[in-house]
Amino acid sequence: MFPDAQPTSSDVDRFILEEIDSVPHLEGLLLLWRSAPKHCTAEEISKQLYVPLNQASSILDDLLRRGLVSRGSGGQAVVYDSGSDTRNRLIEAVDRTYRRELIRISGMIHSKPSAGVRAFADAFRFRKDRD
Amino acid sequence: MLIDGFALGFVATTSLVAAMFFLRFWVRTRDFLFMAFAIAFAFQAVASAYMVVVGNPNRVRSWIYAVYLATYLLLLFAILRKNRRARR
Amino acid sequence: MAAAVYILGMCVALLCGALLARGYRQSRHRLLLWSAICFVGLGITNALVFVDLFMLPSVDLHLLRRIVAGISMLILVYGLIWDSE
Repeated sequence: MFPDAQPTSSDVDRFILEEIDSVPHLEGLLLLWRSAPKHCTAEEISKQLYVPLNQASSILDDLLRRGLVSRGSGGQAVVYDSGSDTRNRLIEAVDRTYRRELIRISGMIHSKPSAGVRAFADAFRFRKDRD
Repeated sequence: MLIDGFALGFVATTSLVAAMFFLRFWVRTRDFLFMAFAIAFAFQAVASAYMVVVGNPNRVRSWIYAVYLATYLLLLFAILRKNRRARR
Repeated sequence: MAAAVYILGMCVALLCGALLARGYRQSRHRLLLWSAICFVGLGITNALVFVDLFMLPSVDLHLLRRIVAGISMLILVYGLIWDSE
């Protein structure tokens, strides 16, 4: 873990494999990242990504649970959590990579085993802290 | 008793189905934990079917206990192995 | 020896059920809910076998054992078919 180094493409891939459940998840995250520090509601996400509202809400819930975004005070809107410089650089790299290699990244996301299966396997980790 | 045979057959078939799902999860994730579950449920299917054939489910042969023991140990091993890696 | 195997089986099943229940609380994926219920049920089945064979030999629990095992497996298969995407 070298905090000053630039994220590599395998860092990007690993982030996507570990944290991103679907292409709308990735696009939602990147949308929030680009809009920061502006807060977005599920309705706004749903409109921008052309997904139904309940899917947008569930995406926001997932991102919240992973600590990638945080809720604004007193409301439903969320904002990208820019607390960590390492992660900011990583998301920036993810954004660049996704724009350049859309087909490869979405292919990679689609070939992942489903989120439920991964959650099943993750449940058997005693401690959830990852590197 | 027919209903006992039915119940054992039910457990055998559902265990086999579960084993196949876990096998498929193993193919997609290459996570050994799923293989351990597939083996455990496959054996549960075999043991249940065996009990129907044998006809006296309360006194089964020792080898069934031994294999059950092995599948439980395999599951524990898979769980511990997963956590040994995660701590690295 | 048989008793030890049933106890171990109960412990392993309950461990799996507990880990999956905790996972369900964190991730809300329904597959984990159904699996957790199944493993708890299988743990109970093992406990019932132990009770049936070693603690209450005069009472015949084998139909109850079958029912608990059958319902547990049914719930698991339901979850695998509908909620494993």
